[in-house]
Amino acid sequence: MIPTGRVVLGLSVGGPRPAELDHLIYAIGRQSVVVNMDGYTGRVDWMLVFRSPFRIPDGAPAAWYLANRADIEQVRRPSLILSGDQALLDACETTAPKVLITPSTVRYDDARPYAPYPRQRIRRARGLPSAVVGEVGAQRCVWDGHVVDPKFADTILITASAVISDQASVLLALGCGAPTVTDPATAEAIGARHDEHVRVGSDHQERQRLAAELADDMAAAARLSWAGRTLFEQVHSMPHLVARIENAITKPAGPAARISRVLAALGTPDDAPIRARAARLYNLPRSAGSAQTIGES
Amino acid sequence: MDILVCGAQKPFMHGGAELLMENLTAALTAAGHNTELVRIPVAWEKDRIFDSPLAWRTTPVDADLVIALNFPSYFVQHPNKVVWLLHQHRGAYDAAEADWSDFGLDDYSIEMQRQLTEWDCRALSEATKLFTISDVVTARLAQFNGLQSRTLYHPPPLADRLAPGPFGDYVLSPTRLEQNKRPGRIVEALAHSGVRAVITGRGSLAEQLQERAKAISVDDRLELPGFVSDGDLVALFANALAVVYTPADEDYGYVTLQAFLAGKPVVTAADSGGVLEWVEDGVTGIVTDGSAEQMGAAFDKLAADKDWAARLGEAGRRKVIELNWETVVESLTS
Repeated sequence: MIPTGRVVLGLSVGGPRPAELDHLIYAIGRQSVVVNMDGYTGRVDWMLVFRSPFRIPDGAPAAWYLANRADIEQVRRPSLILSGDQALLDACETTAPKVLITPSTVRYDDARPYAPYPRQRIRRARGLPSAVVGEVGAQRCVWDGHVVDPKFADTILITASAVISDQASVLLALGCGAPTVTDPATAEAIGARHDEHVRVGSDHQERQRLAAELADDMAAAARLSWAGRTLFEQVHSMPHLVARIENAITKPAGPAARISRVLAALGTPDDAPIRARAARLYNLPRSAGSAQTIGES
Repeated sequence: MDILVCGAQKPFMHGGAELLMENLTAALTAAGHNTELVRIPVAWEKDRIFDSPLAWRTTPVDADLVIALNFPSYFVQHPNKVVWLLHQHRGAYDAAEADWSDFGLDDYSIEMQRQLTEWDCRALSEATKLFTISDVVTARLAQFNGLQSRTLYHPPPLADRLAPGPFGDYVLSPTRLEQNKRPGRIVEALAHSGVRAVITGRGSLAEQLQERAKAISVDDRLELPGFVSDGDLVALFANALAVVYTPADEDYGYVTLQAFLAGKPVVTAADSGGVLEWVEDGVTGIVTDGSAEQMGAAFDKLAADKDWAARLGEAGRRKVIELNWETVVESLTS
């Protein structure tokens, strides 16, 4: 029995599945109902197709996944094209939207971007120094020059003026909008460029100097904060990848789903008061757990 | 081209933002575009601050181009959205510490401020072109949102009617009589000067200014005529000794540009924001520290040397005479 309001994804997937496709199906399944089309005849809202062993129900929008050039030849009436290879997307001649499957390794659903000014206000509210460099690494956490308990890592990531991160923490730092300084290997691993998404220092002393500079330059910190968050969403965040795919292939059914999508696209947290206000203002249903959920009940 | 100009509506308020919306719409129409102005009411308290952005987000706009001007009109969704930013919700940003802002330091306020910053970043990032009306607004956008934009200046209202005239015996300040415009500074400065002052415009401080003028015995040199017609205002500009304008961190400030078009120097304060993009101390006006003493001394210095005042005013006029709507329209629509 499929719960009312849940989005149903039908799978028509054959052959050995690439790992990235498996990851994607698993991520979609966290919030949608995923059914294998082998013998299934119930409702589907959209289809994910890879080498198409099963029939695609009439009218169901279909996202086709491409793993190699031969897959391009199999595509029929696509609503969306997916691939982990930009060259394959470019080679597929269709007017349907195309979405690049990025590495998307993390699920930091709760990571909210804190720009430098809200960070500064938090520090003021807590009676903390006006500019603070933090460090969150696998080996230790540092706040304003003092080694602190690792349990304060999250606090450092959302309140410091600038954060020195290593490979273990850099994606969460970017997700939190932290103006981030890191090492060359970490920057390369996540596709971040110096002074575009992060600042890169070759040794710890240089990273400390760069972080101190960022802490005193709010405009530069704000630019890196937003650019880093954007990199996180576009390349590394699985929930954002799933949202891009679902937004491209499904149309919101009714005003509640439409407003829910608008709020989600703006990054509105589940507990944001505007969700409850929107439900009241637009007289919309607020069924918890539904795809049409607008606000907290 | 079918163009919708999008702007916020603060009910019962009509100031510089509204004039800009109307003048831009007229300029686009004059350039041959099919143009209409769309406005949706906005509330500025933090408990309702997201209502109007959401309304803009869900409002259909069928046009070839939309030009969004101020918070929260830039939440409008359109594949060809150009933003020419007058201001964001300043109470959550540069004016968060001001008395009138309700964005305090409690957890709720800070989270609302964080959310608004994120919403703004997303909505403004969608723009195919991102302009602002002044370097001050450009700098705020960089500082608070990390977004790069380009300043696009425009001429003030009455630009085609303002012209230099004789240098009279009064300083002029056309402004709303509200706290953020700080007209009280002019009244205080009169106690340190021998000139007259004419402060036109309406606002909640009118009575208070009159009472203060009486209390410090300068009421015989202060005129508060309230609203004046465009024709009277043009004449007041033309015959003034100088213009005085010392608002708190102004976004742009039409008064400065109007003064220069009338060939008058401007007396301002070092914390007046966008006014300082135009007023250069000793070149096009006098930049004071905003104290009554320095402002009064500036008035007297100009009164004592009207040739110098004329040279400053002429230098100001040269700075703004080339501003025109054609360039603005071309930049926004090309």
